[in-house]
Amino acid sequence: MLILLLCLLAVLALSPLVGSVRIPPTDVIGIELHHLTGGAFPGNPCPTPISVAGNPVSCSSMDTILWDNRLPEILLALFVGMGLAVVGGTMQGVFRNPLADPYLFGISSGAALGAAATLFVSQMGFQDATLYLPLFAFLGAMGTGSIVLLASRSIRSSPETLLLTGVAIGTLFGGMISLLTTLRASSEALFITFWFLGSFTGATWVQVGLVFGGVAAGSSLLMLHGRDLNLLQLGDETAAGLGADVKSIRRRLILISSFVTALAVAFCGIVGFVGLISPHVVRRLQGPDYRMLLPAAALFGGLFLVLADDLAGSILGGGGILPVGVITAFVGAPFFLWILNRRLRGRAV
Amino acid sequence: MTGNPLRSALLQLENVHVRLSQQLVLRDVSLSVEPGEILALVGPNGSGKTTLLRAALGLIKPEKGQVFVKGRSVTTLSPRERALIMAWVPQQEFASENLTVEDFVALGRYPHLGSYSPETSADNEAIDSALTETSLLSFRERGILELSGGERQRALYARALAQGTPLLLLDEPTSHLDIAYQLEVMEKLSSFRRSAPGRAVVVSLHDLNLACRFADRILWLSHGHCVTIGTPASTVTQERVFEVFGVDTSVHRRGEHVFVFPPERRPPSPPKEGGLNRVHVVCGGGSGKDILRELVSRGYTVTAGALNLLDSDEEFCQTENITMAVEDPFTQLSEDVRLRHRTLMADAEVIVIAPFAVGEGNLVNMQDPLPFVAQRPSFLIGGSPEMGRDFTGGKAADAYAKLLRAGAKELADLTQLYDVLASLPPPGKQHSEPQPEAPVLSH
Amino acid sequence: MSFKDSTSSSVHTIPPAFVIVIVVIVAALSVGATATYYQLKNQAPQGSINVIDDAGRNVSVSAPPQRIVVLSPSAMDILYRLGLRSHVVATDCGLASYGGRLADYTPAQIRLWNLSDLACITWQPSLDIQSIVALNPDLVVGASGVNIASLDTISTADHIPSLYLNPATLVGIFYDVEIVGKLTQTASQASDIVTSMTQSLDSVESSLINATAPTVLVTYYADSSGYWTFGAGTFGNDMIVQAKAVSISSNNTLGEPEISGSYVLAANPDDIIVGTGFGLNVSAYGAGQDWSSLGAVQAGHVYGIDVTILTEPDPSMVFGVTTLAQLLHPNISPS
Repeated sequence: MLILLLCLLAVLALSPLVGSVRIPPTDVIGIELHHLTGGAFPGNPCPTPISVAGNPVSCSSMDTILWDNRLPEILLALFVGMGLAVVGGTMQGVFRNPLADPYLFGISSGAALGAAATLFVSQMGFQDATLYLPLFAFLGAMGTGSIVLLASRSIRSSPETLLLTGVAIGTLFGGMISLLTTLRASSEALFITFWFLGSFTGATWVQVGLVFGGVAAGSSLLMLHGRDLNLLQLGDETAAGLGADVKSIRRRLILISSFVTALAVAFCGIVGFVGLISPHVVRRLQGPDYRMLLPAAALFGGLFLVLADDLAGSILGGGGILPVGVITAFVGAPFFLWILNRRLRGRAV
Repeated sequence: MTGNPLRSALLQLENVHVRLSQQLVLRDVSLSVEPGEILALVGPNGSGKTTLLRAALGLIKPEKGQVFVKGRSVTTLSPRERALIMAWVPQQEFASENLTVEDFVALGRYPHLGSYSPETSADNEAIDSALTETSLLSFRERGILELSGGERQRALYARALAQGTPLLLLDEPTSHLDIAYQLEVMEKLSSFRRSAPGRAVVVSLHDLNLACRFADRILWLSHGHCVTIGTPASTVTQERVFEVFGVDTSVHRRGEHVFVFPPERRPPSPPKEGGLNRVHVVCGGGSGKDILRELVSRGYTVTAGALNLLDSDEEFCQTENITMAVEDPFTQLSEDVRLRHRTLMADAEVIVIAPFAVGEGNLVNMQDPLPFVAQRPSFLIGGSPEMGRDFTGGKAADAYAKLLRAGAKELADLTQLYDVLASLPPPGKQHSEPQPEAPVLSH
Repeated sequence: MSFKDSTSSSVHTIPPAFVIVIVVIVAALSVGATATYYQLKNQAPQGSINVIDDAGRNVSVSAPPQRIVVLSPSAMDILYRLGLRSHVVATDCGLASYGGRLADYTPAQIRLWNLSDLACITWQPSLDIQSIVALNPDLVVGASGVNIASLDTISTADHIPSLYLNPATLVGIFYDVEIVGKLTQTASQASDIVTSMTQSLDSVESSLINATAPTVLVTYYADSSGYWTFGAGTFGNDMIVQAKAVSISSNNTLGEPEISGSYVLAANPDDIIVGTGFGLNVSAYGAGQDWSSLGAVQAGHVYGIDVTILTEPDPSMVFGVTTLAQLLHPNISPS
């Protein structure tokens, strides 16, 4: 885990250097120190001047870019990555299914549906896209999770039933989104499509604060259940035989996971793959004990997503920004295959 | 009935019916487990042993009837409360994560710890002693998936021990273990229930002999129905085994102990048609077993003598229903028995004398055949007793020589015997039979 | 390979008290963050010039903007007509799928508005906020399709005023011209444009008072599976109505639906208007399903029109109504 932490810190230190506007390291350090010391030091935060398309960029612009845009973006990616990874690990443990991820219950579709709904709303002149888009996305996601939880109250519900209910609901909502995008004019449809792919641009400190709060609280609660998750791996009956109230534990974990996922998704769209592969990578390196797995997965998820966001903003050059979801898929998939291959044990993951 | 605290039984099932997927798997099962006892569940596959255990644990809700644990109804207890009283060792478990053995066993402390509390020294002690008990201490850092089937079963047992409950329920714990560990596990269960007051074990076993040896009481299950419950001595009979398992066995008793053996597998041979049929074998001490077995399998009507009870040849004859002349154990062959022996020999068409060890007690077995040997084909197997089988100071050898002179043929081994027998002419052509009279005194 | 920390023989779980402290702290942070947001949001605009944009947002500048970032052709049209081209420091790069830089603009537009040397900003899939900030603008104008939340970030976090234009009807375009004029203190030019737009529409209306309305297919793309057209509630449809014609897909509620060749054949429109530009010319529509069987094609009643007139809600669209009317009613001249 120590290695993961060090890597994460390294990436966090280097990320501010990456973006559509290249700010030199000297300026980055200068600006950061300037803010952290309350303006006392250094005298000139931007020793190295830069220009974009022939226009010189002022120091205050650089400061704004770095401090008000880039840092929030990096931190948002960090916390979202951590949250999604912990939730992914939890879901894999709760359902004893290596394919589980945070969007298991169609939470992604619920969130997108909520976001799409705001398009109608905004057409009517709603002024708070900043508030309502994430809010509706969050409500959509939580709503989906709650529906599945309600379905789990029936006595016959097994993990498999829950899974399938989630798949069904997710498909239904996905259909509704498709319908909405068909009904709306093409530019809004495009917007939803891109939102679906995930993006961290436009992150603000306010968003970072909210996400940090919710994700940190939720993830901590999930990480507390490491022992319960270990127990669940033995099978529902054995766990019950050892004294675990399996239904209650499952419900609790699903509820918290839905919350964290909904929050993560509300501000930046559906970022795929982080939740799925982070636990697996860490399991290969760290072992299957959930008490260690979840924190380590958080570190890896944060690291992975920050890297992905860095790549997304810099790989196209000329200011083009790829959706983060594209990067996570393209980078994540081969990496995941490599990890699987390396530690193949002839046994199910 | 919410539970009577005056009930002393650790576990009590009252008229429990369990239905699974529309089928009634347990019918009207009642039992109670007292502290200090081992109750074995015995029955064929599908008789409901596992279901019974799961109902006792509260994992299945009975359609009818109630389950009480320490006087309290299982349905009123939370999973944790149940897990503090009963520990379960399932027959097999899918350990899908490769936890270390120590972490795996440590999960047994869950009812004490709950989800969040850190382990205390008391917990670590319980884990350590469970590992020591099952000889898994050196395995503690190994991954659970790397263990063999038997080792994994011990780990399951260790986890149950770590749980620190008074009641252990085990579902076929010996199925993957080799004989040494099977006995070891049963010994451990035995000492478990004795080592502290208020403990008991309920264990389902497929090995009847283990049940007979280690259980205080056995519950026989057939088609979900409790056939009977009682001590091994009182409940294990050939009829019971046939009733429950539908198979022929032979059940033996030695004092309190009961043994169940498979029947000798042999195609039933029709009695020989024509030719010599009745063969008498003089034997003892296991010398006649092979001969007797082979002769019976070839369809001869076999008799044997004179044997003492508890002699291995005697036991064999009992199983095979071979008519014999039998004396009480450790007793000199009496006149009555000798008379009986002579009757048998007179009835026989062939006499075979097996290479038995001769002492003062059965010296007469070498002497009594003398008058009969002359009148019918008789065979001495294995040479003179003086080659290590004579404990009579030469009297056996003398008797042997007399038998030879009377017409008995010496055969080195059994294959020759069978060939010779097959070639003999049918009875009635050669001999006249002497009348059995007053016993012939030896020498 | 060890599966555990080599340091501990049993892993300690996090004590609940510790977690409760964390939860309280982060809950406080969240509340604080939300409070800050609302404070920022409700902050009375500092500037002296205020307008409400098409998303209902309060936009305020303290002085007429001199460095404007424009993120759509329709906004560019307005600014150009207001004589503010020299104030534009960057425009939008256009969707990559259309290919090339300035892919949102037709060559004619690029020429007319002199865009080839202008810096450009990516706005899809995500708005490149950092590049915008680097240009140090004092106004950003975005249109439908731009992520409004991103515009909000530019306003609140980067303190750069942002304007969102998204008119719902032709009349909304008038409003857009007015508010841009107010913000940039070119109100008189704005008012002139509005007047001439009004006159233009009135003129068309009056000259067509007695005209019969032909049935029309308006299409902006065609291939062997059908024709993409404008349904109810779109600008394209509105314009047809203004030009006194009836679109055969006017009752189609799906914004910009595809209709089949057989439907067109059955509806048998009198005229076909095809959108040109962005790589399409009139002959390209020959690839449309059942094209040659269509009555209008056989009668030679196929007319091309710059597609931006149909799709970009700006004054050019309003003036384009006249062009459309002339195409559809060739024997009537506007008064």
